[in-house]
Amino acid sequence: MNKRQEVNEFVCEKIRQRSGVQANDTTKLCDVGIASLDVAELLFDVELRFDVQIDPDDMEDIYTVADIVQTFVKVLEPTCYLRAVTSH
Amino acid sequence: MNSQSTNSELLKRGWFDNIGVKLQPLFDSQVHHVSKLAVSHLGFHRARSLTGILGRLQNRVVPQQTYRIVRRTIEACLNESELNAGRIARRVLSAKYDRHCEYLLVSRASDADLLKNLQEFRYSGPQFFRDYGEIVRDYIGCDAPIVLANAHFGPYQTAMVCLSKFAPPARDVWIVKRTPPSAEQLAGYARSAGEDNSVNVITVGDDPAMQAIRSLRRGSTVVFFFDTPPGWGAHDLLPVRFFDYPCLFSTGIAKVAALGRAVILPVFTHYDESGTPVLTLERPIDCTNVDDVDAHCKVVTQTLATHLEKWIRKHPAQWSMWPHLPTMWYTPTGENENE
Repeated sequence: MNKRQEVNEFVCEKIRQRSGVQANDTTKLCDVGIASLDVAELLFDVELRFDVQIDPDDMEDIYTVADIVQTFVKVLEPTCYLRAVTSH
Repeated sequence: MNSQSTNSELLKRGWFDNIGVKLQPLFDSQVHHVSKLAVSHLGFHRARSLTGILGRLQNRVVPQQTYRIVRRTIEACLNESELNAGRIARRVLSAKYDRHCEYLLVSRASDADLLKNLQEFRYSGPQFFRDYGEIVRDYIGCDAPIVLANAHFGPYQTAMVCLSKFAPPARDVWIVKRTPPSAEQLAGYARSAGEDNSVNVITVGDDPAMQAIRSLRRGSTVVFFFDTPPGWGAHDLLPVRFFDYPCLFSTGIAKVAALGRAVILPVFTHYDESGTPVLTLERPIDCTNVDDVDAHCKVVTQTLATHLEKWIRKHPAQWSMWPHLPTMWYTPTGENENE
């Protein structure tokens, strides 16, 4: 399992614990009752789990599970992220 | 009037009614005029309390919980029996006698040292500014962001001057406010912060919690009021003991500090006899390395509530937030008792 999948799985599990909703990549956080401080807490949980810290600028514009995953992939797998951005 | 028996005697003899007659002309005037009169008649402390109350009496709805908290406060501050405290509290909350109780509290507070001073730091005047810088350096380290948890009538600007000039490196200051500041207020903030520091304001509509966390992670200082109400940045409420009464406090400050990896500096401001604001710092609460946010919030929220209670007990006459308690603190069920 690569880091992207790991983060995705972890975030979806956290959302399930909080909201009882089975989330996926496209799940909007606000639709499952996660907003503002909850988003920050979710990011914090991922930071603790993967022992990284994200840039404060990356805490903006996070609306979906995919946004969170992408934010952490940038830190955890910078090479993969750069490759994905280039090919995109 | 600083003993239990004296207070009780005054109550029995209708002292409240008598003093009310004497003060009535003051209260019948406009607030500004009253303020001037009251200062000349009563001195700074009493005038401040009395005139402050004037603005909050109208159309107030007081639930049962407020009564209980006020009663507890009076019990603690005046050493009154529960029965007498209840009687005073009812009078306080009837609005008609609000000023009388406040007057009594002021007198009582100024007559005696009600509690031992448990505060860790107490600074006033120029020495404060130097010492503040040392505290920040010694306890926090230069790089840690700071949540300045401010209670009472805190002169924000003074706090910002301290942070800007005595806590290197230069750091931005963010103030969390309920309402947007006026242009005049903003200019005042900017002047206080100095050239190297910027002052910004976060208001309710700006997603305050997330903004505050981002600012902290960039190394800024964020200034909060202690009594951040629920639903304003943090929706979670935690049960705490407050005046030996179960209340729910917002976890806003504790959570924002933990997620922002910051240090909380509880700051209390009161006015001395000359009317000079005195800032008191409690020992910093390190939230830079929190593993369990929920457990952390429980401890820190209770710590802040305990600080608050201690300060109210020490300076009861300067605590003007009683009328707001029903909207800020809730019963453990989260429901207002009168609803």
